[in-house]
Amino acid sequence: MDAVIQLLVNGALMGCIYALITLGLSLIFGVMNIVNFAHGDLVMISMYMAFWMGSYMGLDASLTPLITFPMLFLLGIGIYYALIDRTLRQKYVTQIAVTVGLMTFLRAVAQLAWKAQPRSLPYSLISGNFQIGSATIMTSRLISALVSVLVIVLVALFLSRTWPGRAIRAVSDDLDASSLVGVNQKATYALAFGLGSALTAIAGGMLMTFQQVDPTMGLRFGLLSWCVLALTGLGSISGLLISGIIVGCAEALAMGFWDPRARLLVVYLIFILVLWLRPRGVFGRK
Amino acid sequence: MKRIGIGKLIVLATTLVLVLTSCAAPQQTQTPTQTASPSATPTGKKLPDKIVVGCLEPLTGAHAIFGTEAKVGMEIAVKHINEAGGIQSLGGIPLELVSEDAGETADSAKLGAESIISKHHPVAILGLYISRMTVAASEVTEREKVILVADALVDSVTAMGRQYLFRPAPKASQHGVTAVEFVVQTATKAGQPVQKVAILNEDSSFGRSNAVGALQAALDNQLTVVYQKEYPYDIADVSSIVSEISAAKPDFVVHCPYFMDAILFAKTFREFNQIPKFIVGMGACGYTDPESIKALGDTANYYANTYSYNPAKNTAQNKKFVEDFKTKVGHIPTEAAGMNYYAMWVLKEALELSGKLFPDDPLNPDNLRQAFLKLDLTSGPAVDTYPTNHIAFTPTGDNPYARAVVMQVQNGEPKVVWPFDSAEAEPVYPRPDATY
Amino acid sequence: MKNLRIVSLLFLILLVLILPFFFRSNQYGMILLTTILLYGVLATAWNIIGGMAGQLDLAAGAYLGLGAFTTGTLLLRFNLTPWIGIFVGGLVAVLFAILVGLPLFRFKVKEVWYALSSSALVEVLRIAFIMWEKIGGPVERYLPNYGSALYMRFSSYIPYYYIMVILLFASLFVNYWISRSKLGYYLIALGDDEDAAEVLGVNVRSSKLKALVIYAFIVGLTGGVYACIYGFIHPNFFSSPLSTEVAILGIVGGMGITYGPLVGAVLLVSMRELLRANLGGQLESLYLVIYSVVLILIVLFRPRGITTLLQDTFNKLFSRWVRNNHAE
Repeated sequence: MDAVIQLLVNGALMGCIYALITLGLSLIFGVMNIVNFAHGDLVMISMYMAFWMGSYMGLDASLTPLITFPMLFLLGIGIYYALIDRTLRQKYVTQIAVTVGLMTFLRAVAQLAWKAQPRSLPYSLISGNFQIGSATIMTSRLISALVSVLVIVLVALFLSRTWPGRAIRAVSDDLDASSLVGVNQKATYALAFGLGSALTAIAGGMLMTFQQVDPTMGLRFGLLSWCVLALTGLGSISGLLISGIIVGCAEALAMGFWDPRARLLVVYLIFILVLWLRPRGVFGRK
Repeated sequence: MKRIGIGKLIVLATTLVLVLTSCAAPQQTQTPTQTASPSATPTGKKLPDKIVVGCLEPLTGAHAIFGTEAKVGMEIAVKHINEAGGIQSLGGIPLELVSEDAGETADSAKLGAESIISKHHPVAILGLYISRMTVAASEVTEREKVILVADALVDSVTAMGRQYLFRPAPKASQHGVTAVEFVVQTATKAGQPVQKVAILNEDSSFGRSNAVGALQAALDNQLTVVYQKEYPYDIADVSSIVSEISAAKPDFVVHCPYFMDAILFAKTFREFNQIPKFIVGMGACGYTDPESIKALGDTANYYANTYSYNPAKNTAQNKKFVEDFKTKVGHIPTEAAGMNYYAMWVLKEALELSGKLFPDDPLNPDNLRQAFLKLDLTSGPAVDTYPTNHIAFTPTGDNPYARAVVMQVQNGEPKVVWPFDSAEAEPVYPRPDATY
Repeated sequence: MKNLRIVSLLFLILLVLILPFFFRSNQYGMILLTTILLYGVLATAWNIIGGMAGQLDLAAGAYLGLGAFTTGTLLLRFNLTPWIGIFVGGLVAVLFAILVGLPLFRFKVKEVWYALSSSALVEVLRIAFIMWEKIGGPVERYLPNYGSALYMRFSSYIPYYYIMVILLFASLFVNYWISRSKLGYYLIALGDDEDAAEVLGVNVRSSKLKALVIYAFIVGLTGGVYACIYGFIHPNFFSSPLSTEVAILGIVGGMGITYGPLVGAVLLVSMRELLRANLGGQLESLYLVIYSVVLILIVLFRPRGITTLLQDTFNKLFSRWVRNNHAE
């Protein structure tokens, strides 16, 4: 029993981070309907940015998002105007092809800039552990999970309470009506894409407190974040957290009770089953 | 869309032809070896003015970590060999290194092997590192009779029956055995014999070969295996594995990481703060690589790892290599670099021997193969940088005298701690931060 | 006009058939041609499900791997020659396609979700085969050494090249034939607008399933040959990068155009190989930067495929030629 609790705790904490990674994708796809296959690689880039800031400015990994957030926001806007904007009127297939190209590009550039060797920051300030009952909780995971929850709540508030947030939702609900009430559609799309990318900066910073980064890092989070999104369904922000935790726990239980190799097998099987049985996701509003 | 127009067909045909011919064009150029100027040999037979050696390593993709370092090791070896006067038995011809990226798949490895051979006609190729790429490329080297000095450690690489494949470095299962025996001996020496072992490896053929060796050694030493798991190297979080290991309470952990996962494990062990008496890595990479130590900081302390190369070997040749590598890259040679540095010297010795035994045609692949099989080195630059003091090859292409060394990180520096007679420091055992 | 068409078709066939004679002594040229054709076959087969039916399938690696493992295992276990084994491999791929396709199309998994779920399938199979020690496992399984025609293990690439040529023409023909058949019209209709097609009486589910099955069979066949070319089987044959690449070749070449994906494969595979062979050794990943930028530019400026650019250019030239001839 203790083992199960320990596994569930580990899985749930990691699941919150998965939810945070997916939040960016959810804004980009779920709200704006832009297909981005390079999302995992944006996480990789933000981890490198965190490494860069951390090692040259001596910042602790957990603080790097303060600087990398605006950087990734600008990068996202840049990517939007350079690539995505031109594909909006095309089929989703074109977006997939362009973002797969972007994926290759980001990986190759990362290897050119930082070499193929893994990079990691010194042992973070927020590392450590404490006991609750029989479970050992690692502080870096806990704080990352708390930050994830906080950011998800903030983004939900941003979307419902602020003018730009409402503009994003308006564009996603009804393009024509939103332009009638004076929403600048292009700028809104750019804002959403920028914000979606910038959110990976927070995830990247938190991951760097206990992870390392190498140019193929994107593989680990690309399809996984789509799985979380499929489980959530479109348009639901709070559902992300639950789906993230489900994925994290499924993964941990698979590792503990079956075989560590089966971890993604279980996650992807859940993903495929959800697509078959609940194509709109479990918590979707559309 | 529904009709094949003539125009479209012709366009297709012309594109096909144009692209294909432009692709094939580069190899039409003759190589320097072909247009060689005569240089003196004992019999007066014409020899090329340089000996071309190919470096075919994964320089991009998931395995680039190893390939890029290996290439630097080869470059420095070629420089040193040429500075020392080239191949003396052939009148001092220098070596020339040509490199190509082998990508990360069997197709790119095979394409790379064909392209480097047809373009440069190398006498030998070093590299491939990854076993499945070695399988694909060695089929080409075998057909073309080009010597392949492999640095893929998976046991089965030399069990394919390849005639022109040689592997100087210790094979993977040897690493597993070394890791276990090192801990058993060190623990006994420290007066705290070990009973229970946990074996952990990443799920590639390399990880598996290591684990098989470790398991065998554990059985031979009457240890109880309390935990054994394989995991995918691209794992995102290992806290579940670490918590399970601590529940199994082994005396020590033998672990074959891929590379970056070692960093994740070390950080998680520390944060979880359930640390066994000893954690030793087996196989090429992981805990004691300079890049890992840099990435881990003080968390790297007391981790040990087997190593196919001994950077601390106290010989002039080795010190020179370490110095040059440090100036060029900024840290001590990684295993991939070290293995290929001595591999190049082994090739050099084989060329020397071939020049002596077959002065008529020293570069003939069959003669060179004979020279490899007749090699019996106990001194010289190759041995000076090799983990043991004996290099020879069995007909399958392995060196029966190959052994790995064990390095331990002490105060942020990787130190050779085993075998005891050639160690530069005493192993710290058990780990001072062990919790059970 | 019709005669000219047949003449140029014959010209193309002849060209492909005699191409090896220019590369006789050049093994690199031959493996390159074979690899290009291999990707050409995969992309052409993909065109049926991806181009015509508009289902962005990213599971080529799954069918390829199944074909390779079936062929390899039959050879290693039962000493069954790959000449039969590849067809069994194709059938296994078909079975798997039906098994997956039925629920996928029954539950109307579409567009991005179809793409993602097919991509997940490749990974599922890869992991399953790594864990299935009896057939797969992490260690490579070697096929018999080359030099045996019975085991389809040739020491030269020329036989493989001709096998690929046969597969290529077969899949081009299947493409062409489907595009003129009722199934083809159904597929194109449902690729454009699934709901509208359904209203018009197209049996969407069975049409899609037929397309998937044909595609899986060709890729499964190719997978068996793939294993024989490379001489081993390993779970990494279930490769998601390869699957994505096949789809990209199809998209870049021109979805729905019979020979579009082939043009895409010829251009992109040879371009990447040129860059790899000439830049990869010195500048490492720089060549991938160049490759990806070219890829992005092609897709951005020719979203309907590079083949349309060639067509337009040709049509312009051709109509000018016709005009000039008439003027005389």
